[in-house]
Amino acid sequence: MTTNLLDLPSLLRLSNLQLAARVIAEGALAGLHKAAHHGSSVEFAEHKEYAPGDDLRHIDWRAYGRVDKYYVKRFEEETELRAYLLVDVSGSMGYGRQHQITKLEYAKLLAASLSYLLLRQNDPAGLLLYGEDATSYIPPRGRGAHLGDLCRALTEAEPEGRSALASGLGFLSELLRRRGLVVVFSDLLPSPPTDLKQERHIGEYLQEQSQLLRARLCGLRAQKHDVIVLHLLDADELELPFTSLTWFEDTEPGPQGKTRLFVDPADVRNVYQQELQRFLGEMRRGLREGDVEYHLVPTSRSPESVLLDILRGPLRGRVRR
Amino acid sequence: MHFLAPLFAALTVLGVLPVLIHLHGRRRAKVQPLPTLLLLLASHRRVAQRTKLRHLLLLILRVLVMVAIPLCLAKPFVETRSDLPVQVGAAQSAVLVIDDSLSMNYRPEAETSPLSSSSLLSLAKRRAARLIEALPPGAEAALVLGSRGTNAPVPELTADRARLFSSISAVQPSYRSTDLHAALKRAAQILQTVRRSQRRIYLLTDAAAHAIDAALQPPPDIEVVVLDVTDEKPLPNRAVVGLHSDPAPSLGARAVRVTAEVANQGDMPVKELPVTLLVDGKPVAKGLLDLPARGHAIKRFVHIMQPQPVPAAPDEPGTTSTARPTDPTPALGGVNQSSGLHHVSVALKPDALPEDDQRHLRLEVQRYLRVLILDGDPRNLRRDDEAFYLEMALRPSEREEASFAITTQPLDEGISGLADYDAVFLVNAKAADIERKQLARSLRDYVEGGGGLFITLGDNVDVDAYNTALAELLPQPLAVIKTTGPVRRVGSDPEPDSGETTQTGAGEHLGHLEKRHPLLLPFSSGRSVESLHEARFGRYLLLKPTPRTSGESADIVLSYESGAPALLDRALGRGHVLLFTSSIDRDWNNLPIQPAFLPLMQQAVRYLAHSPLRDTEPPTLIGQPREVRLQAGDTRVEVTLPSGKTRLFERLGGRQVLTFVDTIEPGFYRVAASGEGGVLRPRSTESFVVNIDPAETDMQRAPAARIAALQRPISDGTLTTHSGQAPTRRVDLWHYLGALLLALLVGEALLLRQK
Repeated sequence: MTTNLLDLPSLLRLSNLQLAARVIAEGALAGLHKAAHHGSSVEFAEHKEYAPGDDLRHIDWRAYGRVDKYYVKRFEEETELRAYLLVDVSGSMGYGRQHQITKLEYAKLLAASLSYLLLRQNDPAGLLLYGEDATSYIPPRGRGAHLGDLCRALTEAEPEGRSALASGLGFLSELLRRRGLVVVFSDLLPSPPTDLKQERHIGEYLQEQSQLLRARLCGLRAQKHDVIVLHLLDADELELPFTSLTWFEDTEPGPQGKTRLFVDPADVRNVYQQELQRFLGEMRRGLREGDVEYHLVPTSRSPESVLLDILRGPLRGRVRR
Repeated sequence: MHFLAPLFAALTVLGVLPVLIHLHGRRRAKVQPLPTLLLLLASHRRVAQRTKLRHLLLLILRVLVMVAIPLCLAKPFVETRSDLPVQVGAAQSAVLVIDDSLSMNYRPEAETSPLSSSSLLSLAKRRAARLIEALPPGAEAALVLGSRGTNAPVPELTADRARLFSSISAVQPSYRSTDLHAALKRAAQILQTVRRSQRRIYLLTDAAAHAIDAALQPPPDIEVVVLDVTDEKPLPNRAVVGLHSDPAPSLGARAVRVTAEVANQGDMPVKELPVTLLVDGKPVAKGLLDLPARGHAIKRFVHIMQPQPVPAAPDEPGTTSTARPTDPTPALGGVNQSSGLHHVSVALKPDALPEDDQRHLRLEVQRYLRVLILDGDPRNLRRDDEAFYLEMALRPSEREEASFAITTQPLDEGISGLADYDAVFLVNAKAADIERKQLARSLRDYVEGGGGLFITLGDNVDVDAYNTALAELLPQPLAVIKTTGPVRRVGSDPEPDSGETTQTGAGEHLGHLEKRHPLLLPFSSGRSVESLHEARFGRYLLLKPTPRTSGESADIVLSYESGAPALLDRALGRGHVLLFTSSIDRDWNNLPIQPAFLPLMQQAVRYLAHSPLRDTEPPTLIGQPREVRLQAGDTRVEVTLPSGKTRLFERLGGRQVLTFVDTIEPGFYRVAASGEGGVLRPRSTESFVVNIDPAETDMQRAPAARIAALQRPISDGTLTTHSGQAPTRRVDLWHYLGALLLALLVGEALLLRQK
């Protein structure tokens, strides 16, 4: 789907998302607002020198006792949310069931919706489109017109090349100076090895690549960034619904071309799903152990529900009305 | 193989379809990109081997299904040569005669497949069942057996196939000999009641020459079809066809020579055939025998038997003291070792007909008996001695070890230790000597205590004095001397002109012989009987006709032509007294020079000594009745067959003989008897052996001309048995193919389900 995301239907949809998000957010914010008034459930973020008009209840008297100056505590809800949206544009993200949305298109919707929510409240949002052959980085800005830049970049992105997400995360890790929010939109699938025929232990290779990815993501979290991973997978990848003898080929060909496998899906379905569940379970466990927020997002699910989950979860209290 | 619809068979080329579909499908399979190909690869590697095998099996099954379907539709069949006669398909009344004689137990494949070979009888039964199956609807059949003395299992014509099958299946192998004459006669009787023109007798047999003899003729107006279950194959066989024993005195009193005659009915000679001698069921000797083709050979064994001493026989409750004691000890394995009776058999290594590889013999071992001869008329010249001929009879040769220890003593010498002797002969004693020595009392005590006394008469006998002196011993009082022919004076032969003889005639012969008496068992037939009758008696004592009234009766064993008793037997206490009313030497008769004299005297000693009697065992074959002698007081008799089965006979009081007819097994039969309320005790003297008929061991086929003569066509000119091509039988295969097809489809479904 290559429609302009800011076309009216998309915009209406996005607006619906904004409306839904606004309703959910305002409802959450209303709750948060009440909680925020009590100040007991909001996390301390930093000090600010007192200026007339600040809430006297937030004066840090200890600090005054130390430095004999008046400072006011600022909480998370009051700090600026600097978000970096990392979208995987490798070849595998271009897969979608026939006549259905591809994973990349889905990622674009989600990323645009989230950007809109952030930019509405003047929180800077940046975008990193990372693939083996293409990299596009838009630094975070908070002005309203920035949304257009982001949407434009998203619209122009095409899936190609082998996966390079680990490199992208490494790039981002070096890029970030201040604490921020990193949201990853990817299928987290490693590319096949360059010489598949020589690779005897595919399971071990998969584990190694997954471990590398998890290490990079957890590494970002260790740098005090908030990390959210939206693991996008198509229903075909989850269910393997094919029924007849089929030549399956990979979507990220290596130097020696595409790898093919002639198989009856019915023969391998059960075992394939065991392998898939093991892959997903290891990813989930590993990221959660690293305090990374992980969400498995089938593309058959509505983007709105995914945004709601995010707003209620990791961005709770961060997105204001 | 042939087909009813051959065009369908051409469609078996469709078997290549599954292969082509598989190859084509592979090429035309769609291509599907899949980002999770790595995961798919990893999964595929886990199940690749199993999957490949399953796909291969599926492909093979599908190919077979595609071949089986057109083959089924083509209805294939094969034709085999049928072993049933062509006549079986016609409407008819038939009698099946199944030969169930001993020779039908032959197992043609016993040498190569000992565990799975079928006997000729099994083959005959199967063929009979197929014959019944092949009879057209409406045909009737009956079933008769071909062995001697059997009933017909289905004695009337019936259309009830189930009954016929059941009766055929119930036919059991036997040891009986063949009697096809009686079987064909019985079959003809059954078919006589039928008016149908087609009447047949199907004879299922091994067509052995002993069964189909020259005298066997088909019944009139009835066709006989001979079904040779041997398929004319040669049937080699070895058998023990003869067995007898003789004493081997050069090796000892208890040594016996057992001679076995072995026949080889095969065309090949046999080298080193193992032969085993068994005594009382235990192997005691083994040997090897070479047999010529179609010939006989003799194998001899010499064995020394080991009898035990005879203990005193207790009185049996309920019997009188005059009854002869029964065997004193219980039998061991059916044989009374203490009395010297043994079961001897000779066995060959089993072959295709193992039933004829063993033959049995009842063997008696003689005890060493001590005999005292009280000579009432001793002479200086031994030849003239009263006891001369008696001594010679009991000790025929000085060189041989005798079975009798003889002590001859004149009456005028001291006599003591009568109890040391098994039998005492009182020959021509003077009454005065008897009275002086108080011999009568001693002899009476001796006899009553179980001893045996044989009294012979002569010139020294004074009738009145004898009657007084031996009143308590004589079976009957003496009466008067009767002279019927020449008598011999001492030292000379009678001369016609000497005037010394009182010849009144040519002499008298013996008349009646009580052959049932144990003494006369060796004299049942043949030369021995003739020689007894040839004896001529010139003088003897007549007895007073009055029997004793004391309750003890005497048996007359021998009588003269005139009817006067010659030899009497009186039971006295636990012993017996035998009275010979003539002389034991040649003075009054020429019995001592007759061949019968020796066995008669030896038998008399054994009888008096209660020793097992050497009898010439009359052979009893399978199916022949056997007479079992009873004793006074016997009311129950039990006969134990070789297999252990028993037959009990009760309420036999008063009978002297029991005719036993269940001689159905070869081997040793044990007899036990008792009086009313008494315990059954072994009667080993009546034990006997039964053997198979040696004729059944010859498996040689009857000549083809003889079999053809038996199968002559009947008078209305109906087809004979051997015309035209051999009959064939169609065997449909498509039923089996259909079952195979079903199995293939089920297999495919199961394999597909495994996905």
